Amino acid sequence: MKESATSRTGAPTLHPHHDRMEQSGRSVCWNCEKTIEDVDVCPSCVRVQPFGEERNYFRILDVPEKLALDPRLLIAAYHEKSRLFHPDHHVGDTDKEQGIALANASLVNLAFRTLRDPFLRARYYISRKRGEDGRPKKTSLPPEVLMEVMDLREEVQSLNAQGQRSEAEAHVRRILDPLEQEIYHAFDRVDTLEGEKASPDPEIDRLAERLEKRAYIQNLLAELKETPR
Amino acid sequence: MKHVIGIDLGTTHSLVAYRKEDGAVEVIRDREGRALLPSVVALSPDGVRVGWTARELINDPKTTVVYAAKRLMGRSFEETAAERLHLAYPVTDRGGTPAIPDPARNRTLTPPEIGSLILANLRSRAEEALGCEVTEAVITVPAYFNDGQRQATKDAGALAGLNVLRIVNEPTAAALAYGLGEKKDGLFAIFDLGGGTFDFSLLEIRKGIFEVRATNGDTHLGGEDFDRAIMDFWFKERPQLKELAGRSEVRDILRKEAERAKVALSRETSVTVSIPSLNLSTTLTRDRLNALVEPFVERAFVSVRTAMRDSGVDPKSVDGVILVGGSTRLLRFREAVSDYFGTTLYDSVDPDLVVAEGAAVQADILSGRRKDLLLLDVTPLSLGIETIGGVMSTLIPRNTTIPAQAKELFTTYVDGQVNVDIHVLQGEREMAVDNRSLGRFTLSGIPPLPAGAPRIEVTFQIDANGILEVTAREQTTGQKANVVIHPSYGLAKDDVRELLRDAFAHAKEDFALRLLIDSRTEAQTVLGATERALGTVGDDILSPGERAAIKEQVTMLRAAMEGSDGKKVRDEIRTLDRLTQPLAERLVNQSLNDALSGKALPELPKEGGSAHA
Repeated sequence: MKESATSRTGAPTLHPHHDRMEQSGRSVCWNCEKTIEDVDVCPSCVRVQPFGEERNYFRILDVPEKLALDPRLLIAAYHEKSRLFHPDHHVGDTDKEQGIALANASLVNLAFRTLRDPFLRARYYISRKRGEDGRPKKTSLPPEVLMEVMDLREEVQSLNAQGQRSEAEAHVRRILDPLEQEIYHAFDRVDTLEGEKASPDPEIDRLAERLEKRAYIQNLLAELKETPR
Repeated sequence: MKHVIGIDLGTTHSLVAYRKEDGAVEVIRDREGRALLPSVVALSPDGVRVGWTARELINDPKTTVVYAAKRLMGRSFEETAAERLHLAYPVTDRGGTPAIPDPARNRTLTPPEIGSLILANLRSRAEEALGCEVTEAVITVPAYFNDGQRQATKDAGALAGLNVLRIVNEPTAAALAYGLGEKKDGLFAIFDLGGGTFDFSLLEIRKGIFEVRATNGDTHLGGEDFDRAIMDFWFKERPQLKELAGRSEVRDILRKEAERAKVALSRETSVTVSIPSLNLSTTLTRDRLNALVEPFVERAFVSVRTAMRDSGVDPKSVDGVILVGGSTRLLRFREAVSDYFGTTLYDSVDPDLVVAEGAAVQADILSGRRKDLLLLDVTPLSLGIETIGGVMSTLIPRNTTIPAQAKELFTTYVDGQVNVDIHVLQGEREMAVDNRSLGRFTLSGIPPLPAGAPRIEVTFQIDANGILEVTAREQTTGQKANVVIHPSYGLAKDDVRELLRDAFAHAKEDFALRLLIDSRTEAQTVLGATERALGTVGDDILSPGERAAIKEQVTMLRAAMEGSDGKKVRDEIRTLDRLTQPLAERLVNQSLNDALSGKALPELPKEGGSAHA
């Protein structure tokens, strides 16, 4: 045991760690050495370019940085980037280009995986906003909400113990469904405030709390599904 | 033009397909017109044979007949214990890897080497049909194959002299072959039930992009299990039969009868099985078969339900189900599929050919000719590393779209620790020991700091073949350790290189010898037909000059047959073919005229000779 590694962060990090690009905004094409903007493909020599440091998941897919994202828009963007970077379309290229395509395609997949799920997307959005403000990234639930969740857990476990599993699931759903609706409404409110250049901070804090509460309840539902009948 | 071929390297049969000039894909057949090549290799004292001729030697006591080697591919000797019970050939432990003894040549062969013999056979079949050298291929594997099994398949390709451009998942390949992207968009479920493996994939197709939403499977479930269930049922009814089945030829007869009964029961409601030599006469009903296979169908649906749960898709929103693999013909299986999805079953393409055809489509995409299509596949199993307490920490969860990259920071556990062992794992279980170990490596040169201070960044990169590369870096010093995960039980990189050298050295000899034998056989047929024709026609059909030229060429061909240059024999055959061409045409015309005027048809050369041209 002495020499094995131990997890520092607990869960896989959501942020990609770039070490390829130095400065932000502008850089130099690795192939023709012309100065280029932050682009996917060099306009002069048409070679794919590695993603720069400042390319967050929204920028990687070139979709607006919003909470309420149109899924069709997101999928269309994902497919366009996949066609551009997927290794299948770079088979005859140089090793260097294949390497860039592989790294970019991997990040495109990671970005899509995160943004496709509205709740993962919201967590990512919030951690970015808070990171920019220098405020704590983690949310802790107020005691009364924690109590509420714990009560719910007890009720559900006792229902399940009595063999009323579908009733237990339905009970969780009755709490979860309206909560998710509230979260979706909060998406729109934050997006509107951002659009009006008003401070969305209090709204974001409330949203973060609801997301945290949802994660607890979602876990409860998952546990319920995993316990053998 | 350079061809990239698509190969379906199956448990029981293998196939090769290519893209034709017109863009359509086609399975390449052998000279006898057969698309399938049995995945069988015979190691006999007088040589190594592959395919149909190898299968004929199944009961030859001096020959080791290797079949279903795919079940051993990329796995450790220990892991294959259950498989080995069902194999009639010996398997030994060669440094943790299963290996098949080949006493006649004083060597043992690993599963990738057996696979390479089958691939080489398909490669030369393709070369012969296309008339050019073939060096690049796409090979399919079950979607649920792990990292080691994929790597072993790639190695087998390299040993056969093939640059494997892509390892593609079989169900995904099947979807490509169906051309669904061109016809309609939607959600499709693919069931691939072959002889030895079961795969399930859920695909979303939108404007030429095939996105796999989830996959799952069972690498130990297939039609052979159904046959065995039938045999076990017979053994239970007649214990004395079980004793007899200790002999491999008896087992072989029973297995064939069981298979025949199973196939017949897809049409009939009951079938009579009678083997007089074994004093066996019994009836098997469809209901009985259904009961026997039920546990296997149930097992398949465990995989299906897991995949559907992972994808978050409701079974009722699936637009169509594609059935691939011969074993999906089983009625009970189809029934279960219909019950679960309640939608259209697609099975119009021959389930045996569809995977190879899909591999050829993917080959076409990779050669840059089909930019309209793109496959986005997933990794079937979670990947991670062992952390404190022997727990697996997942870096890339199953069903993540590939290529994929994940990074995670780790740190040391004790003060002053300068080395960290990185143990890479694949699987879904909580504890490291319950998962498959893909390899271990050590990151050394960490600065001696208090526990928890070093920052060790571990990067997992899965490429588009589903094969993993792991790098680790200590961030304060930049110390780096790098490994491409290679199966610890398979072939080491150096072994592959060594074998490749051998293979290339022997490849020329092997090829020359095969060409000689094949061309001599062909020459015999051609000579027979020519001489028959010369004996039956008069000067009215064949001028003395033409007759002399043909006779001279016959002598040339006979001389060439005495030598050992197969290519020369083949060239002489071609020349003879050219010379006899006019004769063949006249003979055909004459017989047509005779037929039209009511005369009896003269005997035509039946095969070979000019009929070749």
